[in-house]
Amino acid sequence: MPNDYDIRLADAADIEQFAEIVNYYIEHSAINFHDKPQSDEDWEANWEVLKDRYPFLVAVKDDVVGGIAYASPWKMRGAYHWTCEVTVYIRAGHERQGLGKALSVRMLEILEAQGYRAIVAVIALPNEASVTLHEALGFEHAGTLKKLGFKHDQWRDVSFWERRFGDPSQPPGEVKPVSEVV
Amino acid sequence: MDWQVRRAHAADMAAVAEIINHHIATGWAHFDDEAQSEAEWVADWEAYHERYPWLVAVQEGVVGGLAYGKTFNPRAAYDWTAEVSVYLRDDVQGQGLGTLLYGRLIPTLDAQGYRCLVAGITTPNEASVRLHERFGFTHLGTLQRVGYKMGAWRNVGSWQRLVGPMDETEPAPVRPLREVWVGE
Repeated sequence: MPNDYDIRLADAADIEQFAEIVNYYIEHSAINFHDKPQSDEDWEANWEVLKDRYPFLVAVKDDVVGGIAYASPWKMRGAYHWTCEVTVYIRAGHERQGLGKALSVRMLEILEAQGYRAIVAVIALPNEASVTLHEALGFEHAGTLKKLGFKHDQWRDVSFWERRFGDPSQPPGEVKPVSEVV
Repeated sequence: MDWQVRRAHAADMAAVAEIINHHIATGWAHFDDEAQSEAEWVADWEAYHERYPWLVAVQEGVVGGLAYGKTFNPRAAYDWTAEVSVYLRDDVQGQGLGTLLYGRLIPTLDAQGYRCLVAGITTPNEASVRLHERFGFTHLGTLQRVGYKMGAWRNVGSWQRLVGPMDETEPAPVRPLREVWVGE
């Protein structure tokens, strides 16, 4: 693990740090398209609903969460059952230590073991660090929607990235709960 | 053929559910695997129809197709982006109903102040691609094998249509449908 960070599943106590980490980007950047901060309760509710089927990971050192990665349903319709979206945020001040890579590598291992077949990442541009990370992880660029959102006085392009698992000639199986593979 | 396009009512949603459920049961243009109820469609119509056009093509009281807009993503920066969809009853395909519906839907969304329209199309679907490109949508990319339905992995392409100057001035808030809709 980079610089002695522990990469593990988030527990209830960690979720308190999610809002803090993500709200920084909501306020100070256009990489997250929210305009208002999210509450601890918002994150606890997300985590409660999703955590059995979708991993929520943290990179922790000395009780400080330096980065988070989580998966969520891509869309609710049945044919997307084997598709999920992944998101990673690094706490401001903890960048460039390899935390994004370490979290994402672990995330993809778990998702592949669960039986997910298509993993999507959505990146508002420009975001060189995130694009570089996802390319290194084997994601392919699946297109960019131009001027899709307006934040901080500019129209923003949004790019879509995809990483697939498994043999495309084979049908999908059951998706296993997170607890069965971690 | 004398098809009329008008705003959908709650009472149309039984016919709409029937059209959609036929697509769900017989093809992969719609990715749901279970039939939807009239009540679900009434709830969606309630949630969306004042902020987005929900239009039906009707002939002698029979609904032949539906075109509608909805929220692409609830995050605030997407306030000027709408996702559009069109579904036709099987026995009225190829009669220009899609064009008729989009001929009202797209100018209405423009008039409301939406700046970006997005359509997701499970490919291949030549009729839908042709319809969207006729209305100025361009293909921006495809997620490969992103869904599995009816024994095969399916690709979903994204088509996008941009309106307006797209300079760096804050776009005006989107107007409710009743401020721009003329007619029934």
